[in-house]
Amino acid sequence: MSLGVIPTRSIRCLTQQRTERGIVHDNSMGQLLTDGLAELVANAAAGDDRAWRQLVHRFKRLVFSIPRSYRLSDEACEDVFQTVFTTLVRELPRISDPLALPKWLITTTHRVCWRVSRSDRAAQAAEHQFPVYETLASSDIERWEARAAVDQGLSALGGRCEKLLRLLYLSPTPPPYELVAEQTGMPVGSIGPTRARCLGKLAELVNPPDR
Amino acid sequence: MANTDSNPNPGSFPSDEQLASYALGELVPPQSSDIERAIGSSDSLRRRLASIQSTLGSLQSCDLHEPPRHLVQQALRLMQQVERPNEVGWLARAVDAVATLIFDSFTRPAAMGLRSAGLADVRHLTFDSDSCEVDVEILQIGNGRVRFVGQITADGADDQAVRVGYIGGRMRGEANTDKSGRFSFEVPRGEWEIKVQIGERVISLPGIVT
Repeated sequence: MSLGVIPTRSIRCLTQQRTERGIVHDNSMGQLLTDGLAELVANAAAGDDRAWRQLVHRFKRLVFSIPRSYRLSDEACEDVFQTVFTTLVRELPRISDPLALPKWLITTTHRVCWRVSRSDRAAQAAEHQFPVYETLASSDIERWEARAAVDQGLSALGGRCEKLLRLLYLSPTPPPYELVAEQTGMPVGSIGPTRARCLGKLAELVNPPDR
Repeated sequence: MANTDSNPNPGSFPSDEQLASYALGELVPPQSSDIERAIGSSDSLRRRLASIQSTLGSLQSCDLHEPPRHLVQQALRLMQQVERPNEVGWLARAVDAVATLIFDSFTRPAAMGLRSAGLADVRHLTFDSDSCEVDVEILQIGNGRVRFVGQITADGADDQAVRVGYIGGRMRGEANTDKSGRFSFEVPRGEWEIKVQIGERVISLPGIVT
């Protein structure tokens, strides 16, 4: 599916607009989302393949989940994903405010969804397709940012905690404890206490205490 | 609720794990009432519980999906496939001069075409050309990366634009410079060529292997 050229606003413009409206959050969740991002973007813009790979892995779930939330077809979701990252790799040298990248990704992905939804016949025919509006409310951007922050918190946790929490909370259908035990290699009786311990660790990452 | 904090060490009781169990609704009396008592007398515990509850809420509504592997692989290859506009075109210009290495903290006497001995975390190099002197420190910052920190000293540089760029394999970029000609940039370990532009003159430093 050809999408043509996507009009992209500069990331600095997006940040300025949101600052003027007084809706920029400087909370710890936002910090987690932008942690190390300036250096990653600068290095990727300079052609550092490893930095680019980290950027893709960091935001792949966010970019893929936005078209999924509109219940676009699989083909359309893949088109959106590929288009957004192709746009990003081209725009990297022009990014003047790398910390606004998550917002830019959310807005750009949404715009691509809007374009695709108008031409994606399968999606139009779907009974349960969600409408895609041309503009995105600030509360929607914040909701996606919060999801991305939790996703990055999980990635930062790593190991058994990440695996367990993703299985329990991010699976399309919550699996039974027996299956969780099998996939994580822990006894069924350990799942509850481990979940609590991992949740505590995640909270520490996502909302660090003022100690 | 009293604004007191009778639990000066929230790490003792209840622990984050116990607070998380409480937030998950997994505790029954008397454990749950013990925790409620502790929370009732500690602002910091209340904030901690709120943080765990907020994280749990975000987690429960975090419906992010893993994209198919082939799709991710395609995206990872984009860096090689997409022709990006060359934002640092001056790096491709013919150089007007090649600086000479006059000091290397690793190898003495200095020679063209440097090789790192890898014995220390910081290496100091000084280059000289007819129009400028460039001091460079190379710091090993871990994770396979190095940081170049340096300063350019040139006659009349105050009146001219000074730029610093670097080239290594497919990677090229421009470092930020301040009014005093100081610059820094971080790159993966490897072989790097640094170029300096002062006014219209482009000066190349001999290749550096980090």
